[in-house]
Amino acid sequence: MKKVLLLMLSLVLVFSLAACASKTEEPAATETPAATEEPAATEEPAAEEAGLTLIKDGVLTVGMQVDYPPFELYAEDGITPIGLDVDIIEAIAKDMGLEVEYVDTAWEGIFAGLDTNKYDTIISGVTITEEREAKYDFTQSYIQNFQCMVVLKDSDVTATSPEETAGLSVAYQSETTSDIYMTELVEGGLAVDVYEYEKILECFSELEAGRVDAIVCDSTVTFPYINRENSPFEIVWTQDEAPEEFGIMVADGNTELLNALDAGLTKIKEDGTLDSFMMKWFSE
Amino acid sequence: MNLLQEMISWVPSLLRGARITISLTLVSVAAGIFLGLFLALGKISKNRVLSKISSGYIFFFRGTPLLMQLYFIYYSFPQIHPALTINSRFMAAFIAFTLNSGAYSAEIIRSAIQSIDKGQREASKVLGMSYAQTMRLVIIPQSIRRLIPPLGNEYIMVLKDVSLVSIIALTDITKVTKSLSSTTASPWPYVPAMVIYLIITGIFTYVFNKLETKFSVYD
Amino acid sequence: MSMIKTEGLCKSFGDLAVLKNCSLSIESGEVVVIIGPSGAGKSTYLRALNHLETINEGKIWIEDNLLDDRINSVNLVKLSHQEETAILLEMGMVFQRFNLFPHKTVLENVMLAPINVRKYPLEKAEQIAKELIDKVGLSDKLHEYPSRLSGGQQQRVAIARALAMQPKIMLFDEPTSALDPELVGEVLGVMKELAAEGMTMICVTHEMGFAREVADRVVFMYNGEITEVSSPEEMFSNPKHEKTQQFLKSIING
Repeated sequence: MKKVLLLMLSLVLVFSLAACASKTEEPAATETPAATEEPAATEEPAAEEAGLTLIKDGVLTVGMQVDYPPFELYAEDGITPIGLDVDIIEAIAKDMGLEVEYVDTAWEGIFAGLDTNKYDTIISGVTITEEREAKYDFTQSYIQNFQCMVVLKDSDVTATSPEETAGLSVAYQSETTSDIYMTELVEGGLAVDVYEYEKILECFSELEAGRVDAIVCDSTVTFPYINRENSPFEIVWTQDEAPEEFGIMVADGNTELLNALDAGLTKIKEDGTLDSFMMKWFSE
Repeated sequence: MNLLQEMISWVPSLLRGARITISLTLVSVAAGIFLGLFLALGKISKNRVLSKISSGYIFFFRGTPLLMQLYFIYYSFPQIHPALTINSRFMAAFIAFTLNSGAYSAEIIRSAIQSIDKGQREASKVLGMSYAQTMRLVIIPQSIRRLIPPLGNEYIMVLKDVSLVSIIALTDITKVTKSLSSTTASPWPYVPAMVIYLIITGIFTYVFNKLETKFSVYD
Repeated sequence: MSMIKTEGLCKSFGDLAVLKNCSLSIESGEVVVIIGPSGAGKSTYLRALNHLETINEGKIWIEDNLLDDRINSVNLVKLSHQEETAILLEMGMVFQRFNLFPHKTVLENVMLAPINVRKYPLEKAEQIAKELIDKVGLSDKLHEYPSRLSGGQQQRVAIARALAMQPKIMLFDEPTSALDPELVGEVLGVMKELAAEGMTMICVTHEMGFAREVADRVVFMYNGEITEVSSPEEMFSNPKHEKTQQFLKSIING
């Protein structure tokens, strides 16, 4: 019995070593044919690429919490990310001659991944704020967003803004601008019960189950929930006076990548691609 | 404020989280032991139906992740039927942890009962005691001594498992720590948090060692 | 009326037959000692009497009450649980490994069944227990736990515990086999006293001296069968069966 186990263990070791070896061999084998086939096509992007340090050559590694429709979510196969942010970053990357790889990351602590080089950039419905700008770099904004408050249609909640939620319970996603908004209200003395959730989906589940009275969240993210058939939700307040802007984030000082991404964004704004994406994800 | 003073300033918030962590652990495991006793007796019972139900329960709750069970009981129940909504987060966590820990306790208890020498059952039988009397007077009292170390261990395991409740917005030590860490943008809150966990574990260990000694008096 | 009567007892574990057609009749006040090589079925026979083992075929009477009448493992005798328990309680048993309750003191061990099974009040059970513990010579150990007693002392407590239920028959399953030689005597002493008082006893043992002194009859079992039954004098000086002779020879030499 022991001998069999030993044999199996060594076979496993041998196979895994072989797999590692073959992985490093393949790219070498396929690179040269590609270079000789399309010399013209690869020249321009190659010029742009010069000066870009990426975690993985030829790939834009993107950090994203793939759980924020309609910005990012999984397709029905459960493994392919889709959404507005996905369309935007893939359009930009394609122009840069780069593939895109996603690193699905929990929202809490996602920014730290830029510092530790887990990914090159983050596009994940990230609001541009002063605190965040101090530590990281943002491209121009690509969409506007407002804080809003959602309640159940047939509830007897009379509050028409977060400031009026004393005595009620409010849910929000932790470490978002909604979190900051509500925390400030609580610290300012508002007697509201707040509950933090890791995912926006959970907030809506809680509201639907009647465990919280209201949600404070991004207006853009309410889209799939409000427009659901027989949706029980309604928006009762939108913070029109202070729109938030979403941007693509890179590590502090990563100027080459920042410029490349900004150039890409400008392009899709000017040629109508961004508009077509918005139509796709925000109209029903 | 130096680092030590900063860490001390976090302790009150952490202790508030600790109240949830400790109380949830204590009541869930206690209820779980009670449930486990019935499951264990059911599993070894000669009644086939009872035995199969107990085995099935134990297999299910040990074979699926606690995280899934907690999530399902809290988030999925209301979606199945509104009447199944558990409004209190603490209650939902208590139910999930009790059902789960009960399955583990059942195996601990069953194993302790079955480890008691067959001769004890035979002696009880020839003296005319019923199955119930044998269990109550002879087998279970002797099992208790053997249960104490593994059940003590169960308390310590659940203490750590309770950190899962952050997914249902219940503020235990771990959730408080994560919040503190992100608001202060500092990794240091984890230090006093871990110290608190270690202190709690230390107390559990001490108590169980004392219990074990107390029950060994007849050895 | 015989105290115990068995007729045609058969038991098999799968293909292995451990009791083959065992028939025996034991009178009131008789001391019967069962001897034989290991694996002969001596303990199995004893344990079949009080239902610690279940026979496949045969009949068992206790004081003329038919307890078992089995064919193909099915008992044709249908007794209520109460009736069955009442009959079984006429027999007390002493085990090779004592099987005392380690979490109870000596006194508690002896009192447990009278209180919980016979439902005696505390004082009565205590009185009976103390008398019996005194009888086996352990009054100074009333409040000790079994782990503090020697093997011989534990076995004597076990005897007192069995006697506390006031059985009419005492079954001994190799009572001294697990004891150090110097402790055997104190247990045999108690057993001899019991015999002298007229208790019906069936003892499976290797103690030939005890058999010679106290037994009214000696039963030799071999390979699941009751091969020979006679008085101790006859059995030890003039064994008739070849197997009996072989066995006795091996004891003397080995």
